[in-house]
Amino acid sequence: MNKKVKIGIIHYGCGNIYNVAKSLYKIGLKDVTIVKNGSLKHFDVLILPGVGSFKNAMLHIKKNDYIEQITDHIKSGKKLLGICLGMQLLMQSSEELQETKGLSILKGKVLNLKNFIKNKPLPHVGLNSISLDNKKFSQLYFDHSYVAILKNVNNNFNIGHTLYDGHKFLSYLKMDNITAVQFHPELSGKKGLKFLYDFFIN
Amino acid sequence: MRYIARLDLKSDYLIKSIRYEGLRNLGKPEKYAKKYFESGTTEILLIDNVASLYRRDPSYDIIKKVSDNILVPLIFCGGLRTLKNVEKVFEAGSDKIALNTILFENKSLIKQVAEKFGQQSVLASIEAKKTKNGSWECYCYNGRERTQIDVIDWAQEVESLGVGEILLSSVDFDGTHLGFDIELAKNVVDAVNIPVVVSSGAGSIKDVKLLFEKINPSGVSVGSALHYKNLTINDLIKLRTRNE
Repeated sequence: MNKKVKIGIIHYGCGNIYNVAKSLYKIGLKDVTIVKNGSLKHFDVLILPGVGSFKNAMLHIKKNDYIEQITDHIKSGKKLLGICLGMQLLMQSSEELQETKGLSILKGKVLNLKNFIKNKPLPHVGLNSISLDNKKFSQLYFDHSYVAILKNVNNNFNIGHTLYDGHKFLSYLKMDNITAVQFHPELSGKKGLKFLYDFFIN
Repeated sequence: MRYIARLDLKSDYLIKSIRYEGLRNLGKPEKYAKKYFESGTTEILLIDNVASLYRRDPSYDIIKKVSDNILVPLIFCGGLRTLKNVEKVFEAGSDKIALNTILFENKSLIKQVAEKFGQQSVLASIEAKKTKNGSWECYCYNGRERTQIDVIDWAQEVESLGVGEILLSSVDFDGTHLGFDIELAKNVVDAVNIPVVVSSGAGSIKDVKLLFEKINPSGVSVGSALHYKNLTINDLIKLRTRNE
């Protein structure tokens, strides 16, 4: 692993995003910057963390002219990791609080899980697993009421799902240089560290 | 099944009380947090027992120290009165917050927090005490003051106000190691559609087992039984593995 990789974690202006940085330090990555309003150009990897509401995060992203910078980052072939809300922000819109436009990097929308979940409590909180490539990755921490729904899933996508109350929802996606997860690797103990390690190695 | 190690604080020390009285100093909370994280707890709950009572700000420094030692979610509860308090608690390293006392003066804080940080980040902490007629009443100021509000009504109200979860404690069972108030937990779990974390009363792994056999709450929180090693995180892990 190249430990000198320059990582930028986008701060939406509120909340605790230190956890993501803390996890990266734990796996030996040193060049980690939490960026609130500076330029995103010089980072090798961008992380959209999972703290805050969709609307609030998009407000901050727009205010700092980040839509174009994030899009350019992806176009240039550099890696991006979206976590929880960060995964949802990649979509075209979300119905959280009120209909809000997203980054529109991927075609799809974000819906409330209550459209699908009838018998179990929401938000979906706690450890659950992801089925991906016929394998099961367990003990990952989820905490969300909303899910991203992709419009066109083609062969360019590698997709993982999670089961809650009998409903299968999108919890992992990889397309070229974009990786996004609905769980929180930074809050999933050793299993989360393993995920981050693999992400930064490959 | 979520199992949450509960750390009750007074000033900078981990304490344990019985029925919210008679505090005992057990040492540094960050040491316990680190130990429970390394043993495999799925979450940690940090409660400042006296912040509301003394109208004092939460101990941001302790939150940071605890957070630095763990890689699982941290829930903070105690003395939160304003959105500013809440922001600083998140900045210090907490992932979620729980509100109790302030809600009986200002319910709108729930909405403010949810709009900025998302619904999943805010819990309502309910301190329940049984009444003579068999129902339960909400208490505030760390189990000291009555509110004359029914627990079930309140649970449904905070759900409609937009909290993501309920943390349910029992003033009668707190620190007693007599087992959970299962009747209380069942009534609250049945009344709402959001996750309920049940706290107060665990004396051994049998109590936790019974709780999950009788009802199925989202999680269980265990405090002094862990500190006194009457049960271990490993017992909880084994129980979960068996249930899955």
